[in-house]
Amino acid sequence: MTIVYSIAVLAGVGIAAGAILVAAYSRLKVEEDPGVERINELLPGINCGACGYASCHEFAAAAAEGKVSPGECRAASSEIKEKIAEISGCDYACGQEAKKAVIKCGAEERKMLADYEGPAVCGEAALTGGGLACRWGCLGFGDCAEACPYDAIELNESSLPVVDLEKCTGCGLCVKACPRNLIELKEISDKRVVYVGCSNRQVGKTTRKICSSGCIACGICVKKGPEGSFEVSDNLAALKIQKEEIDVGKIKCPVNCIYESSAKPES
Amino acid sequence: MSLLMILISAVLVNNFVLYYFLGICPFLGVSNKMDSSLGIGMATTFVMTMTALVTWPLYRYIISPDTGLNLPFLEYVIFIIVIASLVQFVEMFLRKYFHHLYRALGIYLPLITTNCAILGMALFMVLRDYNYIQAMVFGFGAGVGFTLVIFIMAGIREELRYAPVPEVFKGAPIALITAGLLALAFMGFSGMIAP
Repeated sequence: MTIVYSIAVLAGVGIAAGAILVAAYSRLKVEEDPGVERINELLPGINCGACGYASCHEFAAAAAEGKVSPGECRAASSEIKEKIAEISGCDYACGQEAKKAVIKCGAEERKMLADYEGPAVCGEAALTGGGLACRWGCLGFGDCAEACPYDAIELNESSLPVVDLEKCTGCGLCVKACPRNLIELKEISDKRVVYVGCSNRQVGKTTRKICSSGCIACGICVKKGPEGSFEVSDNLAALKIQKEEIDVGKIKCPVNCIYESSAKPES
Repeated sequence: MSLLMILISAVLVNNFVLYYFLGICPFLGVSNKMDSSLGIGMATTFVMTMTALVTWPLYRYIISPDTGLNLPFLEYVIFIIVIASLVQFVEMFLRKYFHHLYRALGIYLPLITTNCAILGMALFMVLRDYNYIQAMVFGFGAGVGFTLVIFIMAGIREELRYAPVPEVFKGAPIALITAGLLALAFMGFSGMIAP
């Protein structure tokens, strides 16, 4: 009999608890945007937090309202991001412009002070300066290319990193990898990114002695560029606002350190 | 034992976390921020008090050896069912009315179910043969004790972030050391009231 009683008691308690919960649920249930659940299912669900939200579910809620671009998710593949964009009813760049990495050093020929014979990684070379005359110059061992999970960065023949904007997702891993902080994420505008490819903060005269393409802070870009787009501070020009009407050719930078790279291969 | 004694015993002297070492998972998991620790403390207090209120009559009138059914071996299962349903209820309630807290607690909210302090409280209640009012006070006191300790811990850990902790001790090790020191401090109460 004990067995029968125990089963009856357990079943009774279980059913009673279940019934109370069902009754409570009908009063306390929370209506949620169905889009949120659909986006949440598409997301990787690893709650990595790279997008700045605490969980994938919160990101889904923000994306469904169009507060955040699906492109901000660092873990999802681009097909998934497109699907999310379809559900939330806005393209990749909704809420926020997509960002791409740019390399702020364009020194094809680097003046050396000494030979560097240490390990061929930027992180090590940065400790001694890597023998470069420019304290802000690219060390050229490709730590950024190593860090990129999308193979978007390749070193060219003068061992300068080149970013493939088609492949770049703006994840920012290369920004962390560069010991000289030469990489920055810039908003893309009209499928292209304009940037100042130099980080040297020495006075123009000194810069000119060590590098043929270093920014000399002449200020011509501030004068000739669209108003408010460029700014010179700390002996270095910087792009403040990405504008469509910026014409790099018209600015006539004397050292050609303003670059433009486009998402489409040059045609 | 008077009600006041039961309350003080559960809150300070025989604190569930620092005396019995029950409920360590949420104690370490949710003690990063003071406001969310207070939230989980209050949710736990509510679940504990309700557990005492619901399980006491269930035990006394259905499964205790004094009744005709005599099914005391069911206490664990029944208690867990009750606790789990209560936690579900709390979760629904918080989601509806305190969405901010619901998100802050995250995974630790359903984990109240597996907080052994609650089951321990229900079992102690049976073991010590409390009457209904005593059981309620005991459950409430246990919850308040848990809240107090987790809140103190969260306060210390918020300060710890700015402390020059040696590299190897950062994170979990220093939290465990802090918990140990806190338990030592609470040992000062021991012996004042028999459990």
